[in-house]
Amino acid sequence: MGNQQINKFKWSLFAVSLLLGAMLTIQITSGKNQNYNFRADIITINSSFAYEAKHRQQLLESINDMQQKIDSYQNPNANQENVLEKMKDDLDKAKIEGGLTPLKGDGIRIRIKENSSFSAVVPDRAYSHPEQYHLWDWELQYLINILHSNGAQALAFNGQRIVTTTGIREVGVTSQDGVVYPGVMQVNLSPVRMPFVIEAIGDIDRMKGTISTYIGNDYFILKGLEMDVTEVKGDTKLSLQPYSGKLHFQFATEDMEGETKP
Amino acid sequence: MIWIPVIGLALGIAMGLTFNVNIPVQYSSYMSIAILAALDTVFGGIRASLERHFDSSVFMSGFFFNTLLAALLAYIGAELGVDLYLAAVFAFGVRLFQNIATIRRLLMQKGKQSPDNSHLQP
Repeated sequence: MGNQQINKFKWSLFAVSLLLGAMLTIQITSGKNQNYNFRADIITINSSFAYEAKHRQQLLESINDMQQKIDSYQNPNANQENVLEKMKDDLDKAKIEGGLTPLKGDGIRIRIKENSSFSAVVPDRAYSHPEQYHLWDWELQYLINILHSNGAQALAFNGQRIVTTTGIREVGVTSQDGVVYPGVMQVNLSPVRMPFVIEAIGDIDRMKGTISTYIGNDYFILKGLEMDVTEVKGDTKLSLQPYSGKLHFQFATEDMEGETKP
Repeated sequence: MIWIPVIGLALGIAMGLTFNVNIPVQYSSYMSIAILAALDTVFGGIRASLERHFDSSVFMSGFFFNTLLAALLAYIGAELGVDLYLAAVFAFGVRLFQNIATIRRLLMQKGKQSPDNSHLQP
């Protein structure tokens, strides 16, 4: 074999080895990447086919059911207006419950303010004062809570509509050795000041009875405050503005499965 | 001399891993047949070189032609519903073993004719 022929052989062998290596690698890696490990005999294929046929039948039945529902919805004989009206009513109720619509109606107006009779005794609440004279945020929360559970349909606190996510809290308040250093009272993250006015639309008698039972004027007198409850009914009605903030549905979603469970 | 196919194979494997070409599953069997044909050609080339009648043009054309023909045969078989690829597997398989056997015999003969034993030859 001459030198030239040897060189040709070397290069040919090199090129073919190169191609063969690439082909082998491609073939092996292709099989692994696709995770193709299908090994089936006739029994397996038959059982798979039977399963798929059954699944297909179930899907067809499901499609038929859905088609029937669509047909019933699209049926011109059905009274769609009634259905729409019902849905609209439900939506309106949901909005009222959510505090998203302005409301008007009979109710009570509760005003919590400084008691002028004790102004000489009670220190200025804007600055540090003894704990016994401080009106805590949880006391206001309690008042709102008992109104909610005793006849109030809609509530507002200094014009801020109370919704399910409303927070009533005093930001920055501290207490040390019986002395309170006041913060800023917030409702729906908006600052509110005395006098506190709570407007509640609902069952007037029930709400008034509840207040006098649980947290009436006597309670506030001890704090150097005054609470007066007035009925607003007849021609003059309470008017509540809707909740102006945003409702966030970030964490919870509707549980569709829960509807079918007993 | 033995390093040339080894280096070629290593480079080919590196290329295959680098480019990461994916052969669809339905074409995987054609590729397997093509690889078998390529192996047959490589061993045929080694045998021819040992028998001293190696022709690079025959070698290269045989490599591509056999490879493509084998894949084509498998494809036609699949289209016709006949397992024609078995014919290619049989033909190339038999030739592969024949070539390997011949290479083995030739290498053994060369070993016997090595310089250490040359003085024993007539």
